Amino acid sequence: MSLKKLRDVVYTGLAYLSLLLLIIPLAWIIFECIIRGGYYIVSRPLEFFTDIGRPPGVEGGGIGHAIQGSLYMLGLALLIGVPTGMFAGIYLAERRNSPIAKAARFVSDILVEFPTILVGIVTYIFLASKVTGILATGPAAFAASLALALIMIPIVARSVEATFLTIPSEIREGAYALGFSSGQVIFRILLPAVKAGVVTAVLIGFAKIIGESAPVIVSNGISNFWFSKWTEPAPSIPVLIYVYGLSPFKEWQTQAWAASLFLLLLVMGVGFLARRLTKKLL
Amino acid sequence: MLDNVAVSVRDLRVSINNKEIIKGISIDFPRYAVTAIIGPSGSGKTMLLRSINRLVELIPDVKVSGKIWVRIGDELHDAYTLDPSYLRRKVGYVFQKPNPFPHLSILKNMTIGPMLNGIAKGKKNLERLAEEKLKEAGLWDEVKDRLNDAAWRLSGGQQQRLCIARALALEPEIILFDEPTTGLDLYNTKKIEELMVRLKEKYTVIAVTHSVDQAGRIADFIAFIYNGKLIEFGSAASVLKSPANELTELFITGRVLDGVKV
Ligand SMILES: Nc1ncnc2c1ncn2[C@@H]1O[C@H](COP(=O)(O)OP(=O)(O)OP(=O)(O)O)[C@@H](O)[C@H]1O
Ligand SMILES: [Mg+2]
Repeated sequence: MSLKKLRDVVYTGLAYLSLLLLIIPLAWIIFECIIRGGYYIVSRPLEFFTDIGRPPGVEGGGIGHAIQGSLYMLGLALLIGVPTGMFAGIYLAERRNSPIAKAARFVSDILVEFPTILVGIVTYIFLASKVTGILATGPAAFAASLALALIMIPIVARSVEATFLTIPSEIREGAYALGFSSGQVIFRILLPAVKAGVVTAVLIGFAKIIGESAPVIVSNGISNFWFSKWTEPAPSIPVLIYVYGLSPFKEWQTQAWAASLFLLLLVMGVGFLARRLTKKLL
Repeated sequence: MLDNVAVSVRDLRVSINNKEIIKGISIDFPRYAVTAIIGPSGSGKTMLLRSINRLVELIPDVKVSGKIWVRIGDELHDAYTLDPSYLRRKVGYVFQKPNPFPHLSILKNMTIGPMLNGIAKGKKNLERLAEEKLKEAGLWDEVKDRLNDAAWRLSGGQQQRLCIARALALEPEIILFDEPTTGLDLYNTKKIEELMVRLKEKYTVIAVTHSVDQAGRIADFIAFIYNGKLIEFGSAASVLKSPANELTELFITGRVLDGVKV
């Protein structure tokens, strides 16, 4: 066996090994979730997905309220975060050298690195705290949505910017040369040309906030009831997992595993969808 | 005299980041003729061309001074007071590298310009216009059965002719070509050269070219640019056979030296 061939074998082996190192923890987590929580979902699926939690020590109950709360919370966060992040990203790419773009790039670079719990705390203090809040007088669901949007915006913005920067300059110039206005160039030519990248950018941002618990807890608090008002705490899946998982109650712990399994499948589903969509749109 | 002028450039100066690139060019491009702009690499041919349709304004920190008059219909307009969208519709531009919109079909590449500029309305009219202009550009027979294919599937030469047809679909009066046959095979080069000559019946053609031979094949007039200045301008025959300037002669005989300053 020649040296070159030996090197090939070694590198291939290392590649497989690192793949294994990636897959083992993932498989292990899924496996753990399935054996500790999976049976709960299978044994009472309807109750698990539609019912509310029971008090500690009481048999049964589900995470329907947390699913509902997450839908509301993430829905509002997406409603704010997707357009803002997209427009910011387009602005960063298309007005690359303007002072506003430079400032926005600086701010979003800091925000991306910012601990998400601090984003939650800041949102809480400014919008919802009893003393200094301007929109509520205590932990509130909308504050969590805003915090999640703030976490998502810089991620979406920077990935949309990166996507736009991959467009060859001849395409942009070609569009202007046909007499299109900046708006037409951006929204009728460039955006459709990179829509797969933009969808991916949005999904990356979504994947980042879907499992967040810390910023939600500090801005929205903890609730184990149905969503009622934007100015009150709402339940959500990650927070439920956190609270149930750390509780000493066997029933809650089991449901935390079950909810983890559900969240995991959800995130993987989003990733899968992203890839399918990207392929289809290309 | 001015009746025969399609584009009149007066003391044009272009600088980027305070570095002067076009250093005071004045030239009248004749109407319904092919004018070739020749000159060594980096002499400012592309900048001159892009000043006419104001594509230079896409470059950050660019400064343009002087005047450019553009004939639209019977009148000469100051290009820099016109709406740039309107100017660019009337002054088409074909790039050095074919640049069809890669995510659009052949047909959509043809219809998006007229559609967004409000030149034609309705699927039927847009498609009729697309067919007419593809025929004018000599591409129709090659693409008529695959109009819905993605434009990037075409060969480089076909893509370039699609870009020419796309410019024609806006019903321009002047068409600017920036070395449109760079990197194309002989067949496509010949097709595009013939097309440029044919287009002068209805349009004014201004074409930058690297190749003196190509200028000889297509041009009625030749402008020789060197180091941001117009060195010589005249009928193709006179410039090629008896250049008045020594530098022109050096260039057309393939002997121009980089670093020679004017
Ligand atoms: N975007 C830009 N920013 C700064 N300088 C530029 C830019 N584009 C061109 N230049 C400079 O302007 C000068 C003229 O460039 P131009 O592209 O007009 O030359 P050209 O005659 O078309 O050359 P070629 O035959 O290589 O295409 C060159 O020195 C070039 O470096
Ligand atoms: Mg050039």
